[in-house]
Amino acid sequence: MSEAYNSDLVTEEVGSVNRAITVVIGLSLLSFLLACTVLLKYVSLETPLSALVPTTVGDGALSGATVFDLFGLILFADGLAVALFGIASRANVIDTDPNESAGIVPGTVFGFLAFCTGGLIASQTFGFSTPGVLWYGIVGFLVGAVLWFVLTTAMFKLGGSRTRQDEWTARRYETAIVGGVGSVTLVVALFVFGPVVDNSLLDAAVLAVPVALASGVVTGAIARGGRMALAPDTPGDWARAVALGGGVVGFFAGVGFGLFRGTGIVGWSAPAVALALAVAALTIVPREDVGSTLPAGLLSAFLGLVLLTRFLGPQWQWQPENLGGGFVAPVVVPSLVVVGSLLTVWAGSKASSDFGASGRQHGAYLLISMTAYGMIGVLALLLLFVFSKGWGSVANGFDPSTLSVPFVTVAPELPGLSGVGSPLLVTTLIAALGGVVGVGVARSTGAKVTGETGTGTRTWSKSPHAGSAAALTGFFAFCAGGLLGTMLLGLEAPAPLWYGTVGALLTGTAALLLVVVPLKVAARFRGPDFERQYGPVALWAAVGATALGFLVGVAGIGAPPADRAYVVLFGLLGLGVVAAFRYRQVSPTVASVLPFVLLVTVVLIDGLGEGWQLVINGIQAEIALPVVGLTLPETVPGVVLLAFGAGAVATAVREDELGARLVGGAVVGTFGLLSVLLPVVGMPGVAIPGAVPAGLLAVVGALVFLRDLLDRRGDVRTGAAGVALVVGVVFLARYFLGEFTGGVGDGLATPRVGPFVVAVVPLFLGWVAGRTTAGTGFGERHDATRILTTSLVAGVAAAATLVVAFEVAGMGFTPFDPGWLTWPFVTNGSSLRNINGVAPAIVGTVWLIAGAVLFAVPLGIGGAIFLTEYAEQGRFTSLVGIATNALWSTPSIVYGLFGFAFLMPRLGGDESLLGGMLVLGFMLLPLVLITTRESIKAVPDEYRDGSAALGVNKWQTIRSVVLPAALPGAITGVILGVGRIAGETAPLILILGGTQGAGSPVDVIEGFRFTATPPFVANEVMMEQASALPLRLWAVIKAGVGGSTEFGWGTAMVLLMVVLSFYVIGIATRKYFRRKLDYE
Amino acid sequence: MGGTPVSLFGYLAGVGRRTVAGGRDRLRKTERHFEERTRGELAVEVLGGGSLVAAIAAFVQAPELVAFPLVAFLLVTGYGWFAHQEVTARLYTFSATVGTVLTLGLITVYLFAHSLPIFQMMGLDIVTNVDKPWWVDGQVYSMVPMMYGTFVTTMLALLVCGPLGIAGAIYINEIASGTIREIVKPGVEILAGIPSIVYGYIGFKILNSYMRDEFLQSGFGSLLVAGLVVGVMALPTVVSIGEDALETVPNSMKDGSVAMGATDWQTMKSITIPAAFSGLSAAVLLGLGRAVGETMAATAILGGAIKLPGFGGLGDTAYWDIIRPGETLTTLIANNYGSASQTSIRALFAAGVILFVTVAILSITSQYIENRMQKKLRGER
Repeated sequence: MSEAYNSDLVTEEVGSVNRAITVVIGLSLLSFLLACTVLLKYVSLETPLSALVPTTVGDGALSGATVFDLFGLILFADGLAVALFGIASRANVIDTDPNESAGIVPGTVFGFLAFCTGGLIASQTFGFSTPGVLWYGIVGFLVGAVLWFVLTTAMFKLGGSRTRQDEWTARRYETAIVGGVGSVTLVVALFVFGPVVDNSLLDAAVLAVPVALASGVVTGAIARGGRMALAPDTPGDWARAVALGGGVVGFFAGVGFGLFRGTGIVGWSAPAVALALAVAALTIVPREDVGSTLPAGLLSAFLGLVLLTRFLGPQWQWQPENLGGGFVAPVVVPSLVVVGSLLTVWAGSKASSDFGASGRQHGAYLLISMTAYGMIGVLALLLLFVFSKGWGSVANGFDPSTLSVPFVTVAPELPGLSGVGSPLLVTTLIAALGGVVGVGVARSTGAKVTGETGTGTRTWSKSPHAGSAAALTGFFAFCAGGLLGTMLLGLEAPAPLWYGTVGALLTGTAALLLVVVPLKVAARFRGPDFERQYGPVALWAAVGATALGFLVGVAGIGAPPADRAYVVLFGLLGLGVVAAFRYRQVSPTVASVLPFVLLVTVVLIDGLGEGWQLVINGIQAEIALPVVGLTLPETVPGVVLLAFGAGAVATAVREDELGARLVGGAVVGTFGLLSVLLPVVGMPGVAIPGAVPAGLLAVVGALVFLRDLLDRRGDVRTGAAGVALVVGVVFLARYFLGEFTGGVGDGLATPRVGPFVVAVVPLFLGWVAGRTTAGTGFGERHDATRILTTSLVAGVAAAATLVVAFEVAGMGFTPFDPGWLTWPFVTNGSSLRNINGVAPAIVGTVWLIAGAVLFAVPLGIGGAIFLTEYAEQGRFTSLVGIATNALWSTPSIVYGLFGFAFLMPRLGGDESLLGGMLVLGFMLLPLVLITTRESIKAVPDEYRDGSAALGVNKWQTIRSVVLPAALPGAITGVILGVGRIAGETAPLILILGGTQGAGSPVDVIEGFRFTATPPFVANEVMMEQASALPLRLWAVIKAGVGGSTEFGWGTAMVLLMVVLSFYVIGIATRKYFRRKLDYE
Repeated sequence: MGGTPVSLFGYLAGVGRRTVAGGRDRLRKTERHFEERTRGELAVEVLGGGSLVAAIAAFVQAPELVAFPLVAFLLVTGYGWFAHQEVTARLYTFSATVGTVLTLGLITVYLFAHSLPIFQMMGLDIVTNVDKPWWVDGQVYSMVPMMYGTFVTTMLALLVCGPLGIAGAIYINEIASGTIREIVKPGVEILAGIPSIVYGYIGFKILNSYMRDEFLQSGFGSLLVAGLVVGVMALPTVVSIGEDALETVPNSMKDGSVAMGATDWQTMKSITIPAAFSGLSAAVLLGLGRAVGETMAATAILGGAIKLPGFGGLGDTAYWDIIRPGETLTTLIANNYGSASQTSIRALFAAGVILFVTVAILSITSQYIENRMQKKLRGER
């Protein structure tokens, strides 16, 4: 900054002066930091310096000296040094470029600091009591300043135009006159209308005349002095300058009045005020170099002296009467040091860049930066503090066992982690790493292969099948990395996986040699078009072959024939899905029917036996399900089945463009549905953990949904995917949450988590492959999304194959798996015998958020659409805008009161989960409305016009143009809002109840019952109190001394993690979409 | 179009036209509105709207019956979605707007309605009575001690979040380099999400004992700590909104200043900050609003005893003695909602009304300021 200004001006001497100033600033910063550590009680005032700086050098000098002495010394020395710089500059010893005055702002600040310092010192000498006279003075200051400001402004308004010079001269007299008039008014007012003045009017008038005359003169003089400081050139500045003078006079008038009334002179305030005025004058009146260094330096040196003389020693203590507390040196001294060092830093940095414009910038920036760093530091420390305090109890009993393996391998000495790892996980992780690297390699070589390397960052081109290449390379790298890792680490790899890997490598390599290499060779002769045409086919053939080889390898080992059939079935299912997506334009019907055919085939192979019968029974059961008395989880799959069946039928009937899309939906749906169905109906000899299909369903749904979202479009498949997502998540939640058993100390039921985790790994690979390809911005957008989708689906298929194969073939993870994750704090309920956990609270918070979002988001988005698209923009809409903004800042406790008064009587008259959901929904509603409205408004009108020009009606325009464009903003808003309500406590203590910990989490889904009386659906669970994270923390506070501190910190940490993760996601989403929009 | 289904409306419109000459245009519009609809669309509009109104009425009056109209509404909109999507969408968005506005209206109405008896009972005394006793069940409810507590904590919070917040905003906007800015800005926004109860817990466990040790405080909890903590809490909000305000100042204005040879700081001081002044003050006002309504941090830190330091010599200490604990409007509600006395609970609603009005005024002021700023900047652009 300032160096830039100085670089061409500095001379040699100034260089050395600058160096000296730098030392001063550095010392001040050091004492500043040290003072902060003292305030935080890391270092005591009486810590000997030798303990801080373990050095033998200067041992004699340091011996006995403490931090306290250091503070005094630095303040004193730095203060003097800074003052010296100012004086040297004034005496033209060093070459600087100062302004006329340091300005009114530093004057005020210094004055205030001097007042505090003087007050503190004086009160130690003269005693401390309510400064009655001072308050009269302050009132006088305000009255005088306002009065004179108004009068002066009025005078200028009346004065009309004159030449500038004349104005200035004239105004001085005007000022005096105004001052006189004002003083008279003031004094008369104070005396005559003062409530308890018993003097006669005459006395007052007689006294008022000389006072008024004198004050007029003084005001004029001060205003003139102020002119220099303020450099006024507009009437407004002038009015301010005069007002300052008036204020000062008013102050003394007020003090005088106070004395006159016999309020009693107060010892400490008079010296304080005198010091303040002196310092302010010293700052404002002289030239800038003196004005900004001398007062700062003297104040600092004075503070240093106070410390050095032990006038205020390390044992100092002061407990004024009629104050609820007192002051002790360990707080007061570092505070003084902070102030003093800030002063010297500011003055020093000004001096180091020659005062004037650049000096001011340097000084101001340094102060602002220090403030900002301090602020960020405090907030960051706060986070760290909570985490450091909470970790102990959160990690209590935490045993990541197999999950910890990579950490154990990497850092065997890592504290707190114990357990023996599964070789599978290590190899999988290493393999995943290899996969990512491979994808990276493919990505960079993809450009070279096609020979279309561009120049710009965005334009470097890819062939359409670079994504497939990346996926393939990634997979090979995955396998190779896994094998290598196993060998290097000497781990024992699970046999089926590595037979599968070998199989995949063999067939994949063969495919590459037989298909891809000839293709490349052919492309040499027949040109790149040939490759572009047949490249994808070739690559997919290779991918298919690899997958097949993998399956055969896996299936070939040790499994009974029937189970082998299932392995093949699921492998083919995966391939079918891939094929459907890849060639859906070619033959959607085949693609969609294929899985069914396969299923039937396999069941037939399986001895035409009980399996088929079971399927039939199951389907019948599903269809007969929706009867009164069944729980929701039992009903939903049936409904979904019907929906997807309808989708498949529709596909067969209409095989056009729409049909092709439907096929996608149907295939995905079928695949997911089968997964849901299987555990419900049961298959012979198969026990598939429920989480696997549910997870798959959720993942597939999420992927397709996400893809369509990114693609800015929606059709039947999007809807289907959305349904699949929701169903899957609900099931997943149920499977996971259902496994929490409070108070007994069980962890998550292991077989259900394991496969899910493993399923994610290949999925992640596919995702990375797709993203890297799509993210490089090659060719048409359509290709990018297609490859992305294909990769994603391939990933899912691979995951499905892997997981299901292992589970089915009975070579699953259970043997390796004495516990995937034991984390009592997060998975236990409230318990006295075991580790006290917060699982019910986490679940409660999740449900609260889900309920609030379900309530607020549709309402808010609908309202926003109406207000921006349909309603006439006018008074009503702006009124709604103002009202929603006001409601967003309405205190949360007020919402709590509302829920208490309005909802509670209508929801059974007691605290309930449903009430909590609704109240949080009410809180979220304004924000959803505001952000959605803003983002709809931000959609350019060209979009709407373009759509309207195509003859599309309004609603379709909104649905397919406006909403997709506005969605990112709305989503971000919702996520941030959810972050806020997730940590909300105040309304919940009124409406949710449930501060005492529950033994087990609520199971809202199981709670649904169909009833014969209105409202036909009942849910007892939602009508009862529930636990929530913030409430658990509140319970600890409320318990006072009895509360468990450790548990509180742990809860605080978990709460922070939950809430902040919402914020992180929200902000990342916003950033992503913003960049995307910029790019487009 | 016309035809039988709309004849009733046509008739009504005709009557209107004949009788109210002034509202002719509007009626014609209404008439056209209905004429353009077919029978089915009309049915969807009328039935859907009707059942929704019935559902809301049922929830307010007879909650157990709410299922019937709600199911009817769902059925109608479900049918409408496939048959007449345009109309149904419009109906749905309109209902959502009505629902939102209604919700917001209900909050206001219920809050005021529930506190009305207290306001009637106490009159103006509820906000002016400085004399003891302030709180006697069923007899005296004076909000003055709580309002004073809220005032003190808010002012302390302002002292923290005002200067520091604006300094932070200037730092991010002007001083920080690109990379630091990229990290710090979202970082500060994330920090805005720290739940108040966590601050409260820190205050409760750490700061209160700090006050005992280092400020020789004898009691438990302190207005000073509450104010400072609330200030720190509001800080990220102020920084983030203040930075947005600085960001809206057009670059052309700054460039003009820099082109005249002004330093960055001069530009900041005399161009950017004055131009963004209203935005910055709106940021501080919003922070203030958060501070006024902050409940959990204050409740956790303050012990919660209704007392008013030293007004007119009635208290046991001086009124500026902020080291002692006190009670704010929000902590009052959080501490006493379990009260057995119905009147006392209504008094809590009175406290809620005071909070609500204060914050609404702050919010509306800040919106007004913001609008003015936008107009000003647009004019100067």
